[in-house]
Amino acid sequence: MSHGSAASQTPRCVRTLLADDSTEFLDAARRFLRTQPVDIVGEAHTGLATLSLLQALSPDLLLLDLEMPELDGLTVLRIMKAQPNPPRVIVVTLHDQDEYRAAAIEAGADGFVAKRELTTALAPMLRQLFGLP
Amino acid sequence: MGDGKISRAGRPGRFRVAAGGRPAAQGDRGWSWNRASILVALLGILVASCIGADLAPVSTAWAANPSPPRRVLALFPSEPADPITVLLEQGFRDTLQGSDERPPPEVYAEHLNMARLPELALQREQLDWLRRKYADRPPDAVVAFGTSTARLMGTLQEPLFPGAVSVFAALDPLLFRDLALPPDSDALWVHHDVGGTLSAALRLQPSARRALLVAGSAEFDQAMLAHAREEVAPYAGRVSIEEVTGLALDALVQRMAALPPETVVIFLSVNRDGAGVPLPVGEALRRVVAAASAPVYTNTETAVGSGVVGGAVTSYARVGDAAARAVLRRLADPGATPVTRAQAPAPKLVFDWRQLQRWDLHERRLPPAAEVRFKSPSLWDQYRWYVIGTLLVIGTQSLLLAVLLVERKRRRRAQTALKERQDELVRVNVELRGRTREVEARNAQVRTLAGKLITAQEQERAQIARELHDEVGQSLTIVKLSVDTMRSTDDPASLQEMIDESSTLAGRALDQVRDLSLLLRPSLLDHLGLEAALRWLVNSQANRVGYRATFMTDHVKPPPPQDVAITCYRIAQEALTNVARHASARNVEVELRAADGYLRLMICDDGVGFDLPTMQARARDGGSMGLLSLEERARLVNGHLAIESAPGKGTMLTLSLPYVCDVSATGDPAASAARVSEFRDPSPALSADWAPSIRPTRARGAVISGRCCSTPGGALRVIARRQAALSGILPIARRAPVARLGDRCQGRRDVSMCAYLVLRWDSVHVTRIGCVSDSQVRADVVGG
Repeated sequence: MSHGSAASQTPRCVRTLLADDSTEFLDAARRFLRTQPVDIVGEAHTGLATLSLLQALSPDLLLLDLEMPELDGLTVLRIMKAQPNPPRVIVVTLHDQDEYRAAAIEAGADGFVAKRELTTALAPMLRQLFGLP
Repeated sequence: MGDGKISRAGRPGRFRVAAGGRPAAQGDRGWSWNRASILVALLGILVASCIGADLAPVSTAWAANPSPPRRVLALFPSEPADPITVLLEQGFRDTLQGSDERPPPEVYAEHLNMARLPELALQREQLDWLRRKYADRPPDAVVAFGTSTARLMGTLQEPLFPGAVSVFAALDPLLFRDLALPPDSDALWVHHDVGGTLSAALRLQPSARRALLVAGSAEFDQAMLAHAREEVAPYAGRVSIEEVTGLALDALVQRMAALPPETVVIFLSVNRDGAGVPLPVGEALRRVVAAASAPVYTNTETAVGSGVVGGAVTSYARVGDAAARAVLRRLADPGATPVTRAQAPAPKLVFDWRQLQRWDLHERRLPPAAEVRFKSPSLWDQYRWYVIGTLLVIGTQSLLLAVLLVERKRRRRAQTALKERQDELVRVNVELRGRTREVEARNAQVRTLAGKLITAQEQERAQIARELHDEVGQSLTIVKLSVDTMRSTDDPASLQEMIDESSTLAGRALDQVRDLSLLLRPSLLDHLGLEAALRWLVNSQANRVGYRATFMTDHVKPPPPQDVAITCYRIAQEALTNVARHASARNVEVELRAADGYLRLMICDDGVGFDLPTMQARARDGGSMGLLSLEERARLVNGHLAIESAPGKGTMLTLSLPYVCDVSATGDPAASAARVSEFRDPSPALSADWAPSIRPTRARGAVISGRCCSTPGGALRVIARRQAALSGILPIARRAPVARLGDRCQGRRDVSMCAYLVLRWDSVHVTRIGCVSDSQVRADVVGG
């Protein structure tokens, strides 16, 4: 999947992989994401599991937490972005400092959303990234 | 004196043995040459007088003995002090006294002084007087010494003492050819060994070419010359024999003075010179030896010492000895046959050491039996024991002195060393005391600091607990109350109000929790590193306090170790808190740089500053712990903290922390790729685009990410350095800490595995990565 194809063909649902070590947050996020035009294809709780699922599932979007066991989010981000045809990545984290945002963007993230602002900030970002209505 | 008689010269002590006046002793020097001999002679006389005077009672004592001692009467022609008489009597007495006969024979010596009584009638009266003298104790043996005594005895019509054994000794054959002795008498002759004298002279003078025989014109002189002529005949082939006779004394002396050195002069006898002038005893010899330009030899024992070199002389002691032996033999066996031509005693080789020196004749050329007289002892001989003793004393003293000096030097050295040791000890002691005081002061500081830290920790916990309880707890309580209320509320307006209020309160609680969390441990430090954390700290502090802040860094890579990073962060946090509380600064600059193995943090402000010595004194006394705690933190990671400040001048804090910059884990993808490619496995099976990446993690590990494909049995070789050394082969999907098989690799016959290999050991710096296999290997690495 390329950026070009994503812009030209508007998918009905964005195939999304969730990566977060907090099951409570994953539950809450899943509930919220039902209201969004995304299809959750998998969930990972560790960095390495995220890498494996990325290879296995080839999702369109990865919602990636920064703090995870085995590999932290920024490392996962760097590794996967070094591979050919990486998915879009939105970093979703508790840390809302600007330093985190800058680090994520530098590592290759396509978007940065603080968890406390997920319900308000994600939708505009999805629209911007995937041309959703 | 008359021919053929032992006669006296004009003066006492001078005598001649033979007719013709051959001198036996020459002048006064003849008397003085040998004091030892004179002493011995005097002793002999003393002994003789003692015997003569005192033996009577002894013989009386022996008279009672059934075997009385034999009496031997010795008649000498001259006086007792005559040198030849002394020698004769000594040899005679010694042999008789030392004989085996018991009791020993009694010896009576009578000296006829015939030179003083030349008239025959007077001499015979002496004999008559002797008859009367010994009438009551007639001798058993009578020994007549000398030619003149024998001639006198020959004039007697009847024996002097009938029945007594008669022995004639020291008879000169040159004078007695026609002498008739009593038929039952022993006759002992002397021999003039001129041949032996010449032989000895030629040994001393091997280069001698001629020998002179010096003789006078008297009858004895000529007899002696004739005898000598026979004696030296065997040497005629070796040297030319020349006779010097018939010369007046002056002419003789002149002749002697003009001799070539290779000449041997044998002085025979000159009792009368060629002019017919009779000469005193020894006169001719004295003048000849004084004038001679060549060594002069003789065969008369008593002449040795008067200037002659020496020669084979007649030993009168041996003559006396021979006479004594003849007496003993006859006494032991009265019927024994008399010996009328006894062989003369062997001559004796006697030389004058002074003359040997004078003529430069080598003593070592003499026969071993030769006797050398007048050998003046050398200084060494004289003072040998003094010299040895003195040298021994000096040597011993020197040795003692040397030992003492060495000991003194050793003692001084030891004293010096001791002094140095003592000084060193004193110095060390002083130093130790200083160190001890420092340590004690430091311990006190540390104790104070520990106490303060505990207090501060408790205060901080109390504050956190209060904030959690009063602030966060309060907010969450209100949210729960609102949510609970929502369940039973139908009014949409109230519901919306409660929802808004809950969201606001939850957001505030989130802010408070985040602030608390950041206070306790900034997550930025763990996730984004020191630079990001410091930047956030500086900016957030500046926003809160209101000064203008600048943060400068040159992107420290690789990230410093965790302990260094947290120390640096905490010190910056404490310093900025102090700036906020006390400095009233308008501008604050923070700079972070890495250089020369040190991580340096500098914080400057333009605030009010403070008096540093006062502050340090307060810190030492425990009044202010801020400064001390900063220093302690720095010291814990071997760092150093410097503070410059003065009232009104602001403050500058410089922190230096040891920091080893390791380029092998810089995290720079380009650098890593370049480095890894250097170690690319040369296996042709590797794909050309093999470019594993090595990226450092914040935990000081390294992540090697990539996709490795290998046939079964292949392995990913990771050569890593962990502090000192770590290397090994990590089989893919087995021992690798984390490895996952990738879908894309499955289904291909030549590929069995695909792995992300993640190494996360602390302090691991991967320096090489490659694939090894005994079969097909292909690998590539993807990474960020």
